[in-house]
Amino acid sequence: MGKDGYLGEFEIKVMMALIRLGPNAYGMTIRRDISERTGRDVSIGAIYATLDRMERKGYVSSRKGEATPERGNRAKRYFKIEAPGKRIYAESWNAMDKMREGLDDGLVTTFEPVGA
Amino acid sequence: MSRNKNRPDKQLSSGDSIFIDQQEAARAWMKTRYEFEKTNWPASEPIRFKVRDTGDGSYRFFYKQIKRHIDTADLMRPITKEEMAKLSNTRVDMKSVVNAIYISIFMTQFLPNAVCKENTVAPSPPDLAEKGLVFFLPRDRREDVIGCLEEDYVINIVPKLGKRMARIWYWWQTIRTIWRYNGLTAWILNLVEEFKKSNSS
Repeated sequence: MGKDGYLGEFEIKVMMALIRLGPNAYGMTIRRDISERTGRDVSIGAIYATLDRMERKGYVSSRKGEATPERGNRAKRYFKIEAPGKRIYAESWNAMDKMREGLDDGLVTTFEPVGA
Repeated sequence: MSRNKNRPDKQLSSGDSIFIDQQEAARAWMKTRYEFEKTNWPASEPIRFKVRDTGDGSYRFFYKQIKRHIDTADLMRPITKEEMAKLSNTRVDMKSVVNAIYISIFMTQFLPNAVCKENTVAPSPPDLAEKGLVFFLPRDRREDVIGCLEEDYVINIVPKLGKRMARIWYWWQTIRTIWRYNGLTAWILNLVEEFKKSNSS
């Protein structure tokens, strides 16, 4: 187990979006990915607050990208998962899997954790 | 319609209006890398350009339908006085629908490599909301958050919801974002989150 415990539900979603989007992961694409897949509107503030927190813990890192006209010529900030982030993500999934072991209540769909 | 419409030909000068067929305009815009579809106005409506001499060597083209303007000063290669004079002396038969030629000529012949700073034509988010974000967001995240909101607004939300609803969406996002980032609320939320985590682990 990581020293900071496991990832929260929203943190896992953000991590998944980061993995899926790869080098194109920045605030707007992460927000859209989560919104489209979960069907719930997520504020950009929530995304950045979560990314900030994970960056402080060393789970993700960021770098400045290019500025585009659609952003009012503001630079993008790309995020990527770092080794401690991958570790805590896998640990969180393993914990979830252990909790699911032996459960056959028909409520949980079986799927493989991404990148674990 | 404009008084110019009834004149056999005209010279482009300050204060003139140009009516232009949308398809022609779209073509002209494409050539100059404008993303015309984003502006969302009815296809039947002609586009009206208002030309104004700013007096500092550049000209301003005002697009009435979308209440936006392009300053030639904003073009990467600004139009020169000579080019404008040349353009002004171009005689155009106003009866042939091709007032559009004006803009085509302007965009393609005189400004072949011109690319407008697109943010000058893209629908812009509500000023006050943006100022609110600037005021409340931490300095190091300001540019990222506002940039992402604006990009989403321009690329996805305006075409999907239309301008009015898009503005409401932007305000709603602003309030939620400020709520997340405002010192006190962020502190309380973090505290709640940490408390939840310490209970669960």
